[in-house]
Amino acid sequence: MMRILYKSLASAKLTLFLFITLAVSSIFGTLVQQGLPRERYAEVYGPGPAALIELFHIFDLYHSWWFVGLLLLLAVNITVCTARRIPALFRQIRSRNRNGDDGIFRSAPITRTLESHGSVDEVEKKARTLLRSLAGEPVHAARDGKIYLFAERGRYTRLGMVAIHASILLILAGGLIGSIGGFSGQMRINEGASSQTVALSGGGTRLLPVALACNDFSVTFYENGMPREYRSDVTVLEGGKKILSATIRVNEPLKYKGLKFCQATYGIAEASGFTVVMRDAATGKESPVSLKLMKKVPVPGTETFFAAARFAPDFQGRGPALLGVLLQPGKPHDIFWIPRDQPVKRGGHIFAFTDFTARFYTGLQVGSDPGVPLVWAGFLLILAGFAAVFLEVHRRVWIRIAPSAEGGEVLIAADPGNNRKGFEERLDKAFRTIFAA
Amino acid sequence: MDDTFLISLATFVYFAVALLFVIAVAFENRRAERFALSVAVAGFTLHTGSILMRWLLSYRLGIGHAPLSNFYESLVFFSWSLVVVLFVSRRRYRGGLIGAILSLFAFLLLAYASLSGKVDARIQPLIPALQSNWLISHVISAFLAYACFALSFGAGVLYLVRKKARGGLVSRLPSTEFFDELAYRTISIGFLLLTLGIITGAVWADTAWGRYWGWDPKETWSLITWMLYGAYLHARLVKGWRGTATAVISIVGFIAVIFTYLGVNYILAGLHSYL
Repeated sequence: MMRILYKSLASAKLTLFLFITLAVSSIFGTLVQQGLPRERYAEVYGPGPAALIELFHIFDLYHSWWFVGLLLLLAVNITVCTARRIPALFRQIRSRNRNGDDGIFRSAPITRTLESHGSVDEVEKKARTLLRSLAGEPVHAARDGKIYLFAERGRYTRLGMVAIHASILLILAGGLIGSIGGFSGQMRINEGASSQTVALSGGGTRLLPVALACNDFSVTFYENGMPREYRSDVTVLEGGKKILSATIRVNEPLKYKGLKFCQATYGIAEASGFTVVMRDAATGKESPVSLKLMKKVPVPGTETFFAAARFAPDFQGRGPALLGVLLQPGKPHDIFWIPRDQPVKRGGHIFAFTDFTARFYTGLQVGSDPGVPLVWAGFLLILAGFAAVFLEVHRRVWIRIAPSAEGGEVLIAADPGNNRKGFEERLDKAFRTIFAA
Repeated sequence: MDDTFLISLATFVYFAVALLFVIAVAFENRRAERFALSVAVAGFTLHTGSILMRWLLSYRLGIGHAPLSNFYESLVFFSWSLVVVLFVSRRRYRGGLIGAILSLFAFLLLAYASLSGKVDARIQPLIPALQSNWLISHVISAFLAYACFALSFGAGVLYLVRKKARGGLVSRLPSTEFFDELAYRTISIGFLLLTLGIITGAVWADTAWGRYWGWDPKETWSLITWMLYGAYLHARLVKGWRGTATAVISIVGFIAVIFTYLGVNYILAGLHSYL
């Protein structure tokens, strides 16, 4: 029973099954919206599918019990497969001389036989030249009157495969540690204010050991209107004391005591001091006024008053707008929205909302992930493993020379490691030039 | 004259290259093959010149950055990567077939970029998220990987075509073993490059978004692609699968590549919306 379990955990079939299953379920996760409020799923996908989504935790598929289970199974599969190979691998690496096994001349991927004329010494010399050109300095052994030569290169390259597989374990372990010991969420701080609480991504809040004050937020734009820079100037406060001041930009996070603060979003916290230009349609005379909300001002040359009733940071996706009210004697109030820089004509006047002073808030992505060093180590290890596997090939060549009447019978066996065809061409060419000479 | 003009020229040159390579294969003509190769070098020079020129022009506009920041630039660079793979592959493989596959893909991508009219070719400034030193290494490794997978896709398709062939022109193609081996080699190298692309992306995401992995659609699809090709390598190296089964995986793998490249941006929403 244990044996069957061990065998199936060590099988490449399981690896393939896991790769395909993980890939297919990941596709699912990109097709079903992740992280919606739970009650929304019934509206979007219907009650039937919503029940399945709830049952299999598909609203947060990549953290569901079964997806994490598949990843853990992959980790076990990699561990068992790699562990099983290690003893043989180290035996192979440690053994200096692999001469003397006659079976290899039948079982190797590539074998050749030829008769060579001349003394055994001469034949051996030629064989050594051949080995040097193909694999490296040969090791010599003699037994039963036969000469055995063996050469190899890249004996450590197979360790690269171990490194690649171990690195996946490191990365998975890092991910696990991060999901257990870390957190992530968003923090919203108004300019001139400070905050110590993070709204966690999975719901709930978390109190940080330090507070962050936002001294200033600014956004600048290119000439074509695309954003150029989002920037928050912040101060870290510990127990009310200023510890350090820093600037957070996109791609330039603030790191402090294992916490990381990244620029994520921004918005208008509060607007005041609105500039409205009232233009007389008949005379073209412009009168700019600075307004506060719910404070009326006279419209020049009339009995009418104008007031701003409300401010919307983003009116119907068209940017900031002001809700204007015209107070005309003996008539009902005229209420209308004035989007910024899109003047509105009412009565004999054109009202343009040109500017306002705003207090922004900055939205920071805050998190701590103790698994990151392991993941980085995994990345380095996988690259080292790939370098070993791609830059060097493990190649072995064996030769046996048996003295015969005319000279020697030469048997060659080779395991080229990769590119069998190319190696065979090289072998045959070297063979002809060396032994024909 | 600006960079897009050079790209239109390169588009026509690559069309000629593809034709010449097809002729070279159909008539087993070495001279046509050599000629195709030198025309490809000319096209590649125009292509590279256009990329460098665009780079320079962006500096002249005061928004200098490597031309790897929007859909147009990604199409041009994808096409460029294909031609790089074409030249590199000649170190090991002769014959016009790889040239025909790759120059055809390169032509189609450039034709779409420069002639469709749907792709905005203006030089745009770099949005804050892309202002990073990781941009270049991330994009280069990802697109070189895509280019390798494009070739393995061609090899997979031609494997199946060649296998079905009973006489006719198709049986003049190289053997099924050739396509099998070609798919394997390109997938090995593509897998390494894709890994590098994912790693550079993860390290970048950690600074830009505060996490190295967030199951964003682009990230998820790159992992799906990685696992499919991982399955290919294990099927072949450990289980010893050959032939039709692995050819099918190399075709499915490339569909995942295309989805990673385009589908994520046009069908699914995510952070990675600039391609």
